[in-house]
Amino acid sequence: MKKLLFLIMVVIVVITISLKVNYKAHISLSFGNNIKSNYQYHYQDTRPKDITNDILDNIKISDRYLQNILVKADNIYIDLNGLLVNKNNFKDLNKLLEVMRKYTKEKITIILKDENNYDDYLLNKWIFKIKSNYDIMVER
Amino acid sequence: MNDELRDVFSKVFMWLFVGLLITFGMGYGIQESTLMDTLFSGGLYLFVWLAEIVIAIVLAVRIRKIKPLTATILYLFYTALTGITFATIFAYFELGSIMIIFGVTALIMLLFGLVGYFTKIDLTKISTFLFMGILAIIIMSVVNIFIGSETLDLGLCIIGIIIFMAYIAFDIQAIKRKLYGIENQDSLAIYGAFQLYLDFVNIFLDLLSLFGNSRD
Repeated sequence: MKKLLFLIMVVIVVITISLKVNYKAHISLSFGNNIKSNYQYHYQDTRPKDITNDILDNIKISDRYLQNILVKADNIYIDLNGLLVNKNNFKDLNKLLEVMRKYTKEKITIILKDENNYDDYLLNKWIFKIKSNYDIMVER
Repeated sequence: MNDELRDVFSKVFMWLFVGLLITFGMGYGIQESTLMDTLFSGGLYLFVWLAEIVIAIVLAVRIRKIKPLTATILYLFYTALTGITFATIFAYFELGSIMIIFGVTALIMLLFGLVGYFTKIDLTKISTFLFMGILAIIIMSVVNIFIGSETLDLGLCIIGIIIFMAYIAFDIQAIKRKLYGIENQDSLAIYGAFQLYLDFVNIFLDLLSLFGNSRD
């Protein structure tokens, strides 16, 4: 009987371990034509969550939800489709990347689509800069 | 506490209470019935343990994808399965002893739950240490199957209690700060209740192992 009790305890600890493990998942971020006013992220299959609460103005991510899914993320995709190529957007994007790097060391993938004018001098300059600073892969 | 948080916590504690009621109710009921002999003679325990592990993994991995109702059914089924194994506890320990230790565990849960809710310390910093702690417990427990040291058994129970006390505070803070990354409130409530349920059961079993009076 005592041995059975011991086994019950061991099994429950094993079950607890399986629940306490941080299961990682990928997240993706997308924007409208402006980062600050239209910023959404998708986490697995959940609905997009609009987080326009001055995240970038505060430089740090105030939304703990995003902060904590960043910690858990194993793949982060930033979709620049539709984002206007201008200095302000890149400035904000740099701030965002800087903040994200604080919370995750995982690979961040920047996705550029056909709609992006990637012959643009500003865009190429930015890509060059972030590639060296953040180890970011650019997919075209 | 805002309305959303109040709603989540009331659901978490409701499901925790329901889960514990099912487990302890089933454990007591089976021990009092003739089903007890069937359980001991057959290999049902292995099936129950396997089912418990599968449910826990499914809940942990799929909680963000499955419907809240499915999560609730899985959680309740899990607590019922644990109730079957708990029949052994009711058969081995005095009922009075079980009740006292249940009360003590509930007090511990209340105390550390309040700590987790009100502390300004970011408890995610200790989560890695806690996780390493339970891994160490499981490894040492397996080693102790061969050694059979009562001192080691005692030490593991004490360490287990400390770790799961800290886990209660961590889990409460995780629910409060939405650290599990679960958007749906009902799913979050079930997941949170399951985490706290496991913390409760672990502390209860460790305390019972240390201070429980056997029927012999």
